[in-house]
Formats: sequence, C-alpha cells, structure tokens
Amino acid sequence: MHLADGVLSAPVLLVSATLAVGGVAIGLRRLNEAQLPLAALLGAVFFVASTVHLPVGVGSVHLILNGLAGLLLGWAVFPVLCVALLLQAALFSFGGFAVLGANLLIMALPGVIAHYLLRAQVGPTASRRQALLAGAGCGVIGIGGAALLAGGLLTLSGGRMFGELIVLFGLAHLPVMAADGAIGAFTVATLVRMMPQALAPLRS
Amino acid sequence: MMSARPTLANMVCRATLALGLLAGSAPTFAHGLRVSAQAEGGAVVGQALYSDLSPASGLFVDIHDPGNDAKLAEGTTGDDGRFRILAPPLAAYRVVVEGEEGHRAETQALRLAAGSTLDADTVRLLREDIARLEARIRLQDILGGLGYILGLAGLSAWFMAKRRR
Repeated sequence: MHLADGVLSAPVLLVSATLAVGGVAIGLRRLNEAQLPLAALLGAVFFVASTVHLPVGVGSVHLILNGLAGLLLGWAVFPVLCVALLLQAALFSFGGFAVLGANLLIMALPGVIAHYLLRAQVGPTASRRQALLAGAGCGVIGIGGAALLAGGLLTLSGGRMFGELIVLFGLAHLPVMAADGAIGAFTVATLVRMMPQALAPLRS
Repeated sequence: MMSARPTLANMVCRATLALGLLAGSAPTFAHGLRVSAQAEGGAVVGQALYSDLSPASGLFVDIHDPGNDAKLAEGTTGDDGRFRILAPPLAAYRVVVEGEEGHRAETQALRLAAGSTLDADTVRLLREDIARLEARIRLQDILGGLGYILGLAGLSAWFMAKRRR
C-alpha cells in the first residue's frame, strides 16, 4: 500500500501533501495529554506491524491496522501515522519522502472515517456482537478506504483505469483486510469488556 | 440468547479466515521493492525482490540510456523475479522496475570491463546477495524506530506538562 517515489504526478503530490499537512495540524491540536500514551503505542504498533509478514497462500501480507488506530485516536491518527510512515521510509525504504503526504493521506483518512462511523458502536453498553462488528469494520473501512484512495491517486496521476486498479488493489488486499478485521474485532471486543473506560474519550 | 452471540462471532471469524485464504493466491503488494542488475553481452540481466525476500514477478522493466534518458527496451520479470532483456550495447544502463500498484525501484546496470578476470555470473550472484541484504528488514532498524517513537512521545509529554503548569 506504500506508493513509491516517482509513480505520482507533481500536482497530485502537492495537493495530497497539502491535505496531509492540514490533517496533521488538526490532529496535533486535538491530541491531548491523556491520549498521548495510546497514540505512541498505536504509532509503534503501526510501525512494527508492517514488518510482520504473515504467509497467506503463495505470498505474504503484512498488517496495517490504520482503521483500528483511527477508531481509537480520531484526527490524532494523522500525526501518529506521519511519524510511523516517516520512520518506515527512512529505515525500511517503504514508500519514499516525496510521496509521504500521499501515503499519509491514504492511510490516515480512512482511519478518521472509521472513527466517526464506528465510535457510537463501542459505548459502555455495547454488546459483544456490536464490539466485534465495530472492530471488524475498522479493517474493512481502513484497508478498503486506503485501496480506494491509492487507486484514485494513481488514476489521477495518469493513464491507468480506475476500475482495473480498484479490482487489482481490492483482490490484493483482501487478506490484509481479513487479518486487520480479525485483530480489530478481537482488540475492540477485549477493550469493551475489560477496560471500557479506555474507550470513553471516543464519544466526547 | 447467550449461545447465539458466540455463534455469530464464530461465523465472523470463519468468514474472515475463509476470505483471507481464498484471496491468498493474489500477488503481494505492500512491501518495499529492490532491484539488482548488470549488463551481460547484448542483454541486461537482473532480479527484483520485495522486502520480505519474495521474488517480484510480473513487474514491468524499462531499460533507459543514463545519458539522455531515452527508453531503449522493455520487458517483464519472470516468476522468480528475474529478467533478461536485450538492449543495444552501452557501457551502463538505468533500470526502472515498476508495478501497476505503485511499486517502483531503479538501479544502475554496469558492464564488466572487457578483459576483466571476473566472471559475469559470479558478479551477478554477488550483486543479488547484496540486494537481498539491502532488502531485508533488520531488527536494529525496527528497534531504532521504536526508540524514535518513544522519544517523540516523551518529548510531547514533556511539552504538554510544561504547558499545563
């Protein structure tokens, strides 16, 4: 899902970088002291998850978990993933520095969407089923949204058909979506049952 | 009533697992990409690898003249990530490997000097070994990254504490 340097056109890079900077600014303003340890934890999880390759079929997938981070952090997911993506680009050569804004937008925006769509489902009165579905929804919205955005940016940069790209991205990321959904469902269900107070700030 | 809920949870788990296994045959994407190449006779020979060391098959390979950037030849990588593409003779080439889904890597392909005592196959294997080492994700990089995140979190906590006072 990390787009490499040199595949996007300059206008697309500029616009997505501007939007990403806006997201980071909103996120930094919303990030409060109580949220900070969780933000750091989820940033570290996102950073490390990309190095854990799960063998699936003939290939392997790696976890992304942008939807789960988005649900728990809201707009603060932008600065958190910005740091993690920067480190991935510097240390692992995933993506690149010029496309950092585009990659950040691709990863963080679906997270924010997951936050606003799903946060009502994880209240203290949430049933186990609701929590599981909300967690699985993180995987679907996070990865599905990222695939749509990546396909859209590649299409805007020229030449290729949006429809083809979406089919390609969608197929390739189904295993990631399934893995992210399963981990999201488990995490949210456990949080709801064992420490519901951790989810309280989501509804404010 | 109580028994109905775990059943649904089970179904969700099974469905996601089945979906994952079903789609497992699709090629892998979300990795870093590395390429190594060299010129041998009338061809450019090389290999493309993802960062989990799996071969990058079915990617487009373009051979450019490093002087004026004109495209000289094109081809695709095979199932093992290797390629051999015929190109007009030059001392060096720029090799760009690109997948449809946003992966891109490039490298220089150099030609061994004429009369060199080095064997072209040996040098290619060496280059592939080096590319494999470069592509691999190292533990110290992961730990270093975690250290940066911890440090940044500490810095932000310190700033926030100062602002509160």
